[in-house]
Amino acid sequence: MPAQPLWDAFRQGDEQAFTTIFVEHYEALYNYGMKLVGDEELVRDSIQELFQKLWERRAVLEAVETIKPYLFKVLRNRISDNLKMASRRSARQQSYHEEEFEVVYVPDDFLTAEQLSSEQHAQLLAVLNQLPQRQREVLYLKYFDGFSYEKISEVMSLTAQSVRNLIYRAIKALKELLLMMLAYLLFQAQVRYW
Amino acid sequence: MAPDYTTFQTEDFVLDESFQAFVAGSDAAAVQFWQRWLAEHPAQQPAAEQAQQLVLMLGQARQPVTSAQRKAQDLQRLRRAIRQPQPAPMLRTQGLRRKRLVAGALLFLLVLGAGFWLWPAAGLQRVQYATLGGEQRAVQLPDGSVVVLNGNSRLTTAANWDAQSPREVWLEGEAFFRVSHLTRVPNLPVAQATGNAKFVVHAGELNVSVLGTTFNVINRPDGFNKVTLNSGKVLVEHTSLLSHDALLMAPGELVEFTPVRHTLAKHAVAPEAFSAWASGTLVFDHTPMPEIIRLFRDTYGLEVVVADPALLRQTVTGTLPNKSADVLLKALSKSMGIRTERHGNQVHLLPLN
Repeated sequence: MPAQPLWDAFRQGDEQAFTTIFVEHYEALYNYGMKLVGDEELVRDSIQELFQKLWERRAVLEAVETIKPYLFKVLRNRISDNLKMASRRSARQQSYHEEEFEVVYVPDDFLTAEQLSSEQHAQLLAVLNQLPQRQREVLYLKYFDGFSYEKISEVMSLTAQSVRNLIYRAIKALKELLLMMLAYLLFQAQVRYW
Repeated sequence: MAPDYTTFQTEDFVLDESFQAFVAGSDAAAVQFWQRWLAEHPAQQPAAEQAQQLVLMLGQARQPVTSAQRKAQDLQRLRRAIRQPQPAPMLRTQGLRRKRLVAGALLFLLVLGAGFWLWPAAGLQRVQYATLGGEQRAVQLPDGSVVVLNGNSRLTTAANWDAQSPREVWLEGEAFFRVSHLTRVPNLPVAQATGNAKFVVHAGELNVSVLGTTFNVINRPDGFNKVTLNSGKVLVEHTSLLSHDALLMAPGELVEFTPVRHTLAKHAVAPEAFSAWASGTLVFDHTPMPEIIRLFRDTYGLEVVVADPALLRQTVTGTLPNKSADVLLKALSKSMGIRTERHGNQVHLLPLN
């Protein structure tokens, strides 16, 4: 794993290695955080706290196999904590413990390439946003960050099997949509081969 | 244990990581396996086709580009936080001076942040290919792309490439690129490429993004920064703190960064003339002498001394071999009616008599 030496250097107090980790993962973390809560200030503060904490605790941190899922997991927990704190402050009862995140897919999330007409694009988003919360998140980690099932399970603290199940159900819903689209496409022309 | 693919439904194919690699084209072994398997199992083809469509559809997912400024700000905030708290000296400045001081400090921090972001991440394992003056070298990159390095040049890249991030190289000097196309999406705009579909050359002030093309990049000292495109499409960007300049190039165009005006400029050129060096010749077409002197310095590491300033106003036209500096000098002196004397790294251009 190429990331390992960087993490080890950071644990030994190498500030440059540490800032490299920040620079390399900032965008993915920011985008993931924004997907979870859509509150820029909260996301930026959470990333900041996460890295400041990492630096303080560098001496006692353990080796990690890959850095990215680890950071995602810690950010997820931190945002969740910050959300709970905020809701406590506003005296709002947080009754749905697991449904604290609200992942919403927006048009900019998918390319409008030749693959999809704008109508199909809209349908895709509609289907995605009807999926249960966790299925949406699993799909995000899988297709926007390219995580393996195993890494997703690490980030979301689920078993790899439940991750597979979640994606399986999400894909099933998407397949219905696809079949509709394909039927529509067959009217127009043959499906392009590649 | 390999799963029993004959019982697979669409969903199962979509979920299978080797099948995903096949659709993305990111793993040659997977591509080969699935092509053969599907040919042998026609009954499973409809399900696999649906799965391909689904994977492709989901493969259109892309992350928004976050602003470099936000990143630089947050990095700075982090740096300040983790450094030992120091007693802040009380600055008794006022009015304009103070404002300037604050602005200066802010700019400095931003430049630091941006510089850090633009350079190859320190600490990562990197590979570097370099040539000496007058030397040329062809390098094959992990994705199959070929880079021909001209003399006195250096190409840096990560030791390990992955399918999730853009292919990136850093160039000092000059190189000719033949970049392999990795995406399966036809007519994908460069700016929207995800995963490793995009290939980025960081060359001084310029960032050159492509999907698969042939082009020549020059990044020599004192802001001599040019891109010429032979085929395909290229997106050239210049990012500074306050501006972001981008130009989409078509074949036969040259884009250069002009340090004086700090902008990108585009001209129509014969791109073959700019890449001919990679196949052993230099093509001059009314090329002014100072440009040739620069070429000797940049590519061959030779300092050219001209005795008669009138020579500087001459231009050179013709195709000359570039394999060795001496052969090139001989050809040049013949075409210009002069003689050359070389002492080490210094070359004198002298009148015939």
